[in-house]
Amino acid sequence: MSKLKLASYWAAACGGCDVATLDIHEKIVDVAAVADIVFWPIAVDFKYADVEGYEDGFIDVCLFHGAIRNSEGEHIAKLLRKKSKVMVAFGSCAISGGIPGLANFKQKDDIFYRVYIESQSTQNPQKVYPQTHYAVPEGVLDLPEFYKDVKSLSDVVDVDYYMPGCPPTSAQIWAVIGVIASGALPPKGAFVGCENQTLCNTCTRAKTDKKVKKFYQPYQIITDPEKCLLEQGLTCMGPVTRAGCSNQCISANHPCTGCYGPVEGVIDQGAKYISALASVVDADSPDEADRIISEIADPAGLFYRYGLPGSLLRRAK
Amino acid sequence: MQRISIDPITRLEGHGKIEIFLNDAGGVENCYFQIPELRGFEKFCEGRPADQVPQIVSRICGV
Amino acid sequence: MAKTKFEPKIIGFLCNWCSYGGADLAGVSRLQYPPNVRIIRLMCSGRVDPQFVFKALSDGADGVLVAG
Repeated sequence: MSKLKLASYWAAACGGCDVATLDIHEKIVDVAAVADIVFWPIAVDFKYADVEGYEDGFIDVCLFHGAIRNSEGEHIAKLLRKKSKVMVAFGSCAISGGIPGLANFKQKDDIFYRVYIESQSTQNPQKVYPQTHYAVPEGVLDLPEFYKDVKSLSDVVDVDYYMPGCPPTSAQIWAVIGVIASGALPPKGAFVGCENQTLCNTCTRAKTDKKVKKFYQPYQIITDPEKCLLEQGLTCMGPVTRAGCSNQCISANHPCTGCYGPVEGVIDQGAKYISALASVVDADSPDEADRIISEIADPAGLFYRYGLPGSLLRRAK
Repeated sequence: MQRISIDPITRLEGHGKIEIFLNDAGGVENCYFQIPELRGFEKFCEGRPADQVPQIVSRICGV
Repeated sequence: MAKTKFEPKIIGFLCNWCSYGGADLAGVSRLQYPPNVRIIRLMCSGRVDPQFVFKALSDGADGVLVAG
């Protein structure tokens, strides 16, 4: 039997997903036993030209990390889609935009101004912005076009599987590689390397009566490690976040920030969290409810930390 | 004039591209290093609570 | 061509037992009301999920009315 051909790519990503993959440590040798890596910029030296040279469908599985931020990301996503039998949106960025997706709260022009003109560490007296085409004496240089909005992978190509997490845990990655190698693939569109229940469902902290009179930010309170963080007034995203992360944050006494995204059937994690909060706020009057809710700092940035481009929120037209 | 494109630069975090132009004698005439990536952390961290910024900026580079 | 007047599309999530009953009674009583409100009947306005509101607005509604 020929070896599996595996590709991995990052668009607008941080490399954390690649490192989480490498964190399977010596098992990477087992991966090499069943799979040939045919493209993986962080680890091996294949170029875009090599990928262009592959036949269509040459790659068995492509693990795609990162959001689609510019025309290069979209171009390579389309190229890899054509060359791959199975496309996996790997990590929060590819699934729903992730942390780079927070840029959709800002305008492209403002981002450019901040980065290339205003920032204290920038020296740009001629106020030059990156150009998609730039003539130099020797020829023309090209840069990708920076899009107005961050997109998710499924906004630009057909995606077969989704593997959530920021990053997905190494144990889950290893399990999913095992499934891929066995050939027993789940139905198209499945979320892999996670559970279809909320983090809350798997949390072992004591939950009693959820009545919140005051919200805190993590630095304002020393929490009881045995009790539900939401009941103690921390905006834990556990009620609306998919389980599968081994409960790392809540085990470390930090509220869940929602990186595994919403569970099946929920189309907007932030809206669902508003619903969850509404059911725990213990207010006797609308004024009191307003006061309690206003204590949540930066709700939009918190509720849509990893999923703004994949949510229902859109720019006003 | 011959043009050599190294695209992408591999085995580092992030995106990079090098364009090398060779003259007729085969020597390097000029060389351009390009970074075809921007995410804009400088802007979208603005307005976020200070205690959340370390969680966000840790995703600048996960390597 | 004459400029058409802006006619908002409003999605109304109405409780079966009060506001929906009211809208129903308007019909029975032959009271006219503008067709701008598109009514979705719920068994209780407590059934409204913020996702419904977001979805209505993102699909092109100009406003959302929750009555109960």
